[in-house]
Amino acid sequence: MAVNTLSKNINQAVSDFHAIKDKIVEKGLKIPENTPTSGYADLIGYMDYDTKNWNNVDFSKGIPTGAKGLDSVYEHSNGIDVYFYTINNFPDAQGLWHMNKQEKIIRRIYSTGYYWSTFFETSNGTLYVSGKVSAAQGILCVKGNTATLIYDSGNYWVNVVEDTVGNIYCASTLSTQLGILKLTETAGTQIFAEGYAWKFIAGINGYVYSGADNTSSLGVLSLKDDVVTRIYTETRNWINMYAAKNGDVYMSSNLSGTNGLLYLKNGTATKIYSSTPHWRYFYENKDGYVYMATSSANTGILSVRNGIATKIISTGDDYQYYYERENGEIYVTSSDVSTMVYIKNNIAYAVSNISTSGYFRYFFETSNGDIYLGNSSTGLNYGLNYLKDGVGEKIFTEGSAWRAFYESENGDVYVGTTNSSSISYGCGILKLDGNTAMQIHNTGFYWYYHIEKDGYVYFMTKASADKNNYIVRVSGSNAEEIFLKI
Amino acid sequence: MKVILVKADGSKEEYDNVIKFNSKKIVCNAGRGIMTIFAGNGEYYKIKNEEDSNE
Repeated sequence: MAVNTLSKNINQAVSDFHAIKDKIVEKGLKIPENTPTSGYADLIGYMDYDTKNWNNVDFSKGIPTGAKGLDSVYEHSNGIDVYFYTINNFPDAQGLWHMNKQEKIIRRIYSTGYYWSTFFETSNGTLYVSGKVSAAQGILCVKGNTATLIYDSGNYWVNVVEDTVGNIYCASTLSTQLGILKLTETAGTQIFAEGYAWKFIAGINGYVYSGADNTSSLGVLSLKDDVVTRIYTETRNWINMYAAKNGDVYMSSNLSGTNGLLYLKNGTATKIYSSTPHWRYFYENKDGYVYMATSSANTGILSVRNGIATKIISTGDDYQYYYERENGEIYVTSSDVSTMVYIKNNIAYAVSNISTSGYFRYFFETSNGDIYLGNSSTGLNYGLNYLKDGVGEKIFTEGSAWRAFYESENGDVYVGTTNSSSISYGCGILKLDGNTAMQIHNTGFYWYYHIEKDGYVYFMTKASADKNNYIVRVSGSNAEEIFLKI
Repeated sequence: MKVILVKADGSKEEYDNVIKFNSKKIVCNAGRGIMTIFAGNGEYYKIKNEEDSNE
């Protein structure tokens, strides 16, 4: 009897084992070959979290989610390695998980902590990973499916930089984690012990520059070959940073009352402009001019190249949106939509005669170089602007949210309104020709889709329960309503 | 490529035919014309994924 029971148990175990193998194959995973015991443990662990049949997953379209508790993903730039982590304290999902997209195998590569959410990928593909909760202590160095704890304390090591010769430096944003660390694949070493929340920007020739995002960490630092030098000692919060394509670095303070702009090169800091704080919203044009603005009233635009700063316009502020054409002309709109600027050959002009209300951030350029400037605001008659050689013109005064632009194959240009809130203002579809706008359809106000077929452009409104839905086809100046659902 | 604009209030707006994008700007085809749209304060663009339903 005893032998028979044992035999039955063994047969049952073998049967169970085959069932497990079948399940693994069913999941699209590979049966372990050399060390089945540990391999199966990995796979069974993975299967516990899986809710999908991986055979049917098209990995080229992104990373499937839904694994229980593993809800965040970092994909390596090699397109093969993918990392999962949970932002919640699910005990079974703790640590850091790795999936090789080619092998379709997931492994837990680090077993403790959660919210391992900050991934810094170096130029050679090594990852440095830090957590955002106290349960995720220290810094991991990750390569493929191997994670090594290289620094065992603190968290929020989220400010990381690589210099031009491959050195990696980092700082924590927590006031309890002081200084700056140098990271290698085997260890993190403190190389500077003062301050916290140091932000970094890489210059050329192995220099890195740093200012801190708080009011207690003094000045500006230069880092080179693991040596940290304080190169500017005036005040704090030097966190608005830009590295130009030629390696020049510019920095301004976010501290109220700390005016000016620093020019950083070869480990030195020089104040090259002494007025106004908070220079930011950087934009570099094709000729290497770096434009910047502030949110303070009428601070205009500063143009800087090779450490020489020139105020090119003094009116307006908050210039953030740069539309640069192939020929180098630039139109700039402001976040507060009060003003607009045209820049050509580094000379700036105010663009007048346009409506600058209503979030004008929609630039449409036709194949022959006409530019229309639409907006996204609804409910007022903000109209539509036309731009040519730096001169503006409001060419249609009614309606708003004119931004559903389309140029047909034969060069006809149309725009529909996407005003979703009110039919009280101008609506419908305009035909545009240079600086003229002709209303060819006067109903419908959320034209969202275009299709062109057989010489017609079809405008379709976005389906909505509380609005009429239309399809209108246009050709030349003719518009024909072919579908209406009330 | 389809891209989603995530607005400051969390609502989303979808854009088709996007040929270039970063978190603050997209460039898309509109027939023969080219649209360039900037994200405003508190807004950003991201590639549309499975969780982004059609608005």
